Amino acid sequence: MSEETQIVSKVLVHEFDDAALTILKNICTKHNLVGLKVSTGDNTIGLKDASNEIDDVLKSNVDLGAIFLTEAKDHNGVSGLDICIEIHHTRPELPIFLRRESADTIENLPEDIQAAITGCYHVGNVDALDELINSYICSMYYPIELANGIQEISTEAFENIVSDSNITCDQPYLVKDQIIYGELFSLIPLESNWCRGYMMLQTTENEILELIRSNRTHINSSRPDSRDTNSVLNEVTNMIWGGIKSRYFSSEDGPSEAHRTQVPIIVNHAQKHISFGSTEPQLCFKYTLHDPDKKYPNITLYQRLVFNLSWSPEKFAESDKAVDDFVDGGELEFF
Amino acid sequence: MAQILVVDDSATVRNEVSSFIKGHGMTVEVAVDGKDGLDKLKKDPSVKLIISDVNMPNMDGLTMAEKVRSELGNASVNIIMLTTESDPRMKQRGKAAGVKGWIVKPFKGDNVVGSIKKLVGA
Repeated sequence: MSEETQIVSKVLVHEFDDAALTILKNICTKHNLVGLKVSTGDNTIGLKDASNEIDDVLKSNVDLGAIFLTEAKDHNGVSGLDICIEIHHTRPELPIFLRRESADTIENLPEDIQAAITGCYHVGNVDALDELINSYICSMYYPIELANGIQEISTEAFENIVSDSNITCDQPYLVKDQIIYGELFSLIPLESNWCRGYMMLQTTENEILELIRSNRTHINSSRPDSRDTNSVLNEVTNMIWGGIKSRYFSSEDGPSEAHRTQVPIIVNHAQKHISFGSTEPQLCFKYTLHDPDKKYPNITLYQRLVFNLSWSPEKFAESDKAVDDFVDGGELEFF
Repeated sequence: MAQILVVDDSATVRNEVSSFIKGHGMTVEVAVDGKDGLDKLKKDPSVKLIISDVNMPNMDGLTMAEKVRSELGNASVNIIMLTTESDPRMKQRGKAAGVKGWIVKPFKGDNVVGSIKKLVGA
């Protein structure tokens, strides 16, 4: 990852007013938000309107940090007030910010709409939008050094498990979403004196089966099955976990027994949702494994770090100093 | 009769390490956890070297190493841990249990093949 790497977050934008779009563009740049604009009906005829397009995005695998709506009706006659309740019902974890024409609050809106909207702003009060973004999208600070390190450790692990492949990673990003990609995921606790939570790796079983069939892994099976896919994901997870522990967790800094609180993790297979009990943004990475010889199709793996139990990034900076204690992987240390 | 016993709950690692060992002309047996490792060693006491993971279900690798010495009374078999763990306290525990060496994963066979051959007398 380059020095310019930043942690970004994708947001869905339904807006057509030029002044508001300029404000949003500036604020997205300021907060490293990547705006995905949905149709407002001003360019073409016959395309889907905003409600259909938003629905498509929400049903896809796009991880989002928030949704920006406007109460004004767009060129298709669609207002954020018309669609916010359905969006909130589909993705209750996603904050919805509403641009109002002039009001500073949402108090004069119907109760069901108020319940769906996280906060509002208008073009004359950009500070309100700034505060909303700070409170709901950028509420957790993730050091870029940590993001860089996680990506490096993970890429090495993939390289060790999958031979002769190119591994790329998109910019790390923050999400509020709780959607599960694919049907195969691993979950492993990450515990130190500066963080407590989980790492999750998500992919699809078919992708891993293709990978095994290509003979790029150490699984020797002409008819691989779910045990083989589980084994590959298990070992990648284990190696990344070990790498994170070795690099960032010192041997003395585990959480005390007295502070080992836990919260239930809820997996809803019908909705393809997983909840860790926290609404704080998660740090995510999207990796793609490419085979230059095309023995297997591109494989996507999503990695999420969810520090739902404890998060003290200021202590991360201190623990980072322990890097000198590294042991080279693969070398035999005789006692 | 195997020269080396590979103990790891990951089929990926078991396959990787045992393929490498076989490729260098040595014989290998595999076990899926520490408990299975102890059972396999009981059945085949001629094993010269155990290469074991640490974190495994049922019985971890360090407990297995301790039991190899205390319960089986096997003082001659060499034990190397192959693990993602690099915690000094774990290494200390391994050392106390008679573990001979420690490899932090990933397994890079070419780096250690000389030492492995020496430990099995190949």
